[in-house]
Amino acid sequence: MKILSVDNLTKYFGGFAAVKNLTFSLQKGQITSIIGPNGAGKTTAIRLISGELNPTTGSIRLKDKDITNSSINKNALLGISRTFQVPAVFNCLTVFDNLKMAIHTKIKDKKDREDRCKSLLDEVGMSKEMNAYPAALPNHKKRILEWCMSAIQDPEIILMDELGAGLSDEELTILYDHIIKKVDKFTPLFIEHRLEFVFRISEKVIVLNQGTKLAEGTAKEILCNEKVKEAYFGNNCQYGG
Amino acid sequence: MIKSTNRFNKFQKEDILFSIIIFAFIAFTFFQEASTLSLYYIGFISNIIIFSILSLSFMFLYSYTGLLSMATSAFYMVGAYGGIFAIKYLGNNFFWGLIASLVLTGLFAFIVGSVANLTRGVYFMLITLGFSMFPYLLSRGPLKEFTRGQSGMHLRKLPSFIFCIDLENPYSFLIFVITILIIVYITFRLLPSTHFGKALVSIKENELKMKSLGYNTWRIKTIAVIINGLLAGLSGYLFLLKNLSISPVMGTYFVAAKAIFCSLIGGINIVLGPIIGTLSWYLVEEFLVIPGFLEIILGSGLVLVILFFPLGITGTLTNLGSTTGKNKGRGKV
Amino acid sequence: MFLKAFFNWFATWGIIALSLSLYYILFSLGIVLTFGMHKVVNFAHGALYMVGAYCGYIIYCSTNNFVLALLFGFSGSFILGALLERMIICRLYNSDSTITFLITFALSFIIIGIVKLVASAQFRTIKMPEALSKRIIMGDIRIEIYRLFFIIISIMILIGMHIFLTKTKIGNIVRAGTSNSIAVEILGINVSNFFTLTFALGSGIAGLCGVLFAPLFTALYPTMGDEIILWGFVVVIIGGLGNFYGSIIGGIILGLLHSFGSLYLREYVLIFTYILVIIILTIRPQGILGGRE
Repeated sequence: MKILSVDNLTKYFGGFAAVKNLTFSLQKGQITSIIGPNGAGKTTAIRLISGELNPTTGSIRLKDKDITNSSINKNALLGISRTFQVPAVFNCLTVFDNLKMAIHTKIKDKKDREDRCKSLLDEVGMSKEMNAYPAALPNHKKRILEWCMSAIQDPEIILMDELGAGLSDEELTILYDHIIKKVDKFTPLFIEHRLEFVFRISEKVIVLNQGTKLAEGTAKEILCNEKVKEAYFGNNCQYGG
Repeated sequence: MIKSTNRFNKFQKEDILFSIIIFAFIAFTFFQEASTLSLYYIGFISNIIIFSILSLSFMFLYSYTGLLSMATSAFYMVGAYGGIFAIKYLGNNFFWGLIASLVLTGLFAFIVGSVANLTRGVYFMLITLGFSMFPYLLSRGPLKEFTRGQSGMHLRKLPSFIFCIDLENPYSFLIFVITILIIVYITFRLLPSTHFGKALVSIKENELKMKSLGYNTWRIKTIAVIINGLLAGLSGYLFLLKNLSISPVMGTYFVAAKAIFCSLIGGINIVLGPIIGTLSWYLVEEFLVIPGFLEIILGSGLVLVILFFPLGITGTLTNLGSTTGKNKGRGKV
Repeated sequence: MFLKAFFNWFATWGIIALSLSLYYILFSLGIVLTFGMHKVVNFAHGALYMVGAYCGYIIYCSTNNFVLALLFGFSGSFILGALLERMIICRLYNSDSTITFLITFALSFIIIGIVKLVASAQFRTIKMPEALSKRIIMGDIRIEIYRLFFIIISIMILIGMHIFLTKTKIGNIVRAGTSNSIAVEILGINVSNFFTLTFALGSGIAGLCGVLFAPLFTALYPTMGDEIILWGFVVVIIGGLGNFYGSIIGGIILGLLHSFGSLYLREYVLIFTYILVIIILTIRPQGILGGRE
């Protein structure tokens, strides 16, 4: 079932087209990644979908609802969640309070909220750090916390902008394992530069270059795509399928 | 004011100091012979408390949201004028005055907040500065026949009793405003542990993230401005009750600047800060009679505080005793 | 017949409006340059204006030489501006704008306090120099010669500024700096001197403006900068917060509003001005010509 469809999405900043005629869709439960060189328009696309920016032309639909010019907070309530390149957690709140802040807009019952937060922290193994402040946490735990804040809202889709930035391979693997476990509940869209992970877990890969879609397909198809090789990988086809 | 967003930590150092100050006010008032001088000082302390409430209203908004509301003095003026109109035309009753004062201020604050929160930073400040002119200009211009313009308005008779408090008696009036100050203080001490308080500081830290979580940050910030307005309006109403005579000067931006000075010099990190700051201002003003000295000392004080002691008098003092990093990074200006 | 009456009325009031506009424009120059280059909201500008007026007053009282008074008005503010910039303002560049507002406000407070201490708060006046105090009366038109003098001098200063900004090397750097200060720094020029120069220049012109306009205006008093500083910001906001030419438009609009508006109820005009400012700040903060964000 199509959960997100993006049609001819275009965004101009003055005379510069950050995103041009971008069309793709996400299937519920399918893991999709967007890759591409720097400046390709990946983050702009995320910002358009989340509602931070309004497109110049084009449309975005969440299931059947048109959210093209909808605002960030309305989109969040409809089920679009987002993580940021720099882990966005609140340093002024404890870990537990961070989660409670995230769940507050979705669940009304106080006891229910606290229970859910506690059980999610248990699942990811951060119960001990419940009353710690994020400043005291190592980087990968901040990431996990940020992801928890998205997950606890039971979103439809989570847009993850360079989730792996600053994480070691093991840390990223652990985080991805948590995410994969919940894939039947929400649909992830990754923006990633860590290509070995992208090709290991993605069912669909979209390649952007200079604001337009260069290619779309399974990991194997993209790896051997000539145009993609030229624009992005160079001529080393070293990532095994 | 946002030392810890955790539990209400009972009796921090600041609470002890606050209690001492309140006790000192009361002791000073009651344990001396009644004379014109002591009556003067009772009035003096009452003025300090009333202005502390105004400073607290500004400080709440600034420390929880980072927004600088130059309209604080306009709210102060609307509170006073709203009260006086109600008392004159609806009945010489404390409660009519209070309701009118708060309703009018609340409405005005809603308008100011709604518009100003469409922007941020210096634009927010300039918009509130623009709005702050309206009560002043309206009272001297289009509404002049109601407000007697620059000469201000006067109450001949106070509503003398509310419950069993005699407002005309300076001693009981002092206890009355002290009680209000205590209530305001406790509310602000409890605020960091409420969801609303936490939401405000989270918006201040990262508004985009809060929006991404589903929060209508514009609405939350506007509510904060309304709180700023209501508290400032209350302060204005108390000023009316104390002084019986108000004028458009209350709404000029100097009053807002004075509240800002008091808050920042006193300390933005704890609730007690604006109270200490206001106390300092009034003491300096009282004992330094040479013209110009007040401005020089307080102006320099503010510059020093901003550049070298961002936590203000109280913040720096409380930090001296603190060994953990608990307070660091929380009081960033 | 009506045309003639209108023309008379327009000539009389037009001169008044023009002089008021130029007064606002000259005053706002310093604010525009400082905000454009550094995003610094300089609330001390009114105090600098006031200091210049007082310097001019002191000289005028002792020497009765108006030209000398103008020079000292300019220099007094210029020097004070330079000192302030070197000692404090330069630390504020690229700081949070609420901080710069608070510090510059505190500075103005201190300056006012010092003036109050030294010169006392009593009102003083600078009388119009004899030679310029005549009026031209042609039928129904009344024009004060002093206003013409003011207009001519102001326009000369503005033309001078324009030439400076567009034709000289330093001026071009200043102009570039008001839209992109980082690029200017990358050029490797010792920017701090330029920053001091621009700030001092803006302050000096404000001080000069203080002496120049004083005979037309009211008295000199320590807080005389407080009202005009608001108008300075209004001018700059209408025109666009970093835009020099925008502030010219802003000054013209405000001058027209205030002079023709004061024929009717002054407070209505002021309220309208502030509503306009709020609308601009909300919808189009770049002002009419667009400035720095």
